[in-house]
Amino acid sequence: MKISTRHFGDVEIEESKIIVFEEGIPGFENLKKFVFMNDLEKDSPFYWLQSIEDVDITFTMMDVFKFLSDYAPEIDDDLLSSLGERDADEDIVLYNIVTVPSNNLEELSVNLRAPVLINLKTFKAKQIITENENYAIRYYIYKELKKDGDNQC
Amino acid sequence: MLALTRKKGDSIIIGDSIEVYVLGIKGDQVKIGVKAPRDVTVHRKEVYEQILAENKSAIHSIDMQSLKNLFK
Repeated sequence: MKISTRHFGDVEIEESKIIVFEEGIPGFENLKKFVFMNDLEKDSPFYWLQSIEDVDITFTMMDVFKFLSDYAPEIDDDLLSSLGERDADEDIVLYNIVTVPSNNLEELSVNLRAPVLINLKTFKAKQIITENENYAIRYYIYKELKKDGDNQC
Repeated sequence: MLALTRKKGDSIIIGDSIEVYVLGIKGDQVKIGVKAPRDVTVHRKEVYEQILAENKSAIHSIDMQSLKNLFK
């Protein structure tokens, strides 16, 4: 299946790899089907969640664990179960949505409060709002990105 | 919107599986309890709205090339 995207041009997607957000994403409740795309740079922690239903909608995602080694959002086991069966904890991956206001990279922030969980066996996903009030909705991670290495959040 | 008046200890049932309880009242604060199925999320509205607003900001055009360059 081919889709036309704003950022990546025409992209070929495998239908078996389509990720489904059964409730959509807050703010975009009608968009349920996405495809997860890698950055081609090996060391990059960035990924993209591209909507199949609205080609202009792309979320930049980030694997924050490389930079924030103690990031440990509390996630209810029932919410994990709602993503379907899993054989191991590793079947569920977690990424955070990135915001770059006015294209100023130094203001790059990541939403630690509401991570996105994806079950790699069922391909179901959900954005979970955690109860950890100390995790910011906008965590300015640029300084950690430039520093590289272990950091506390 | 359905408006109901409840006293402390009263509850409301939504659908057949969600229950909202008035646990206590103190001044202008109401302590509310919610019983819902395991996979139904319950959040303070203002937090949900903040997440929603942040998601809407997040889709604005990010210069992919600059992001890639962060790691060159």
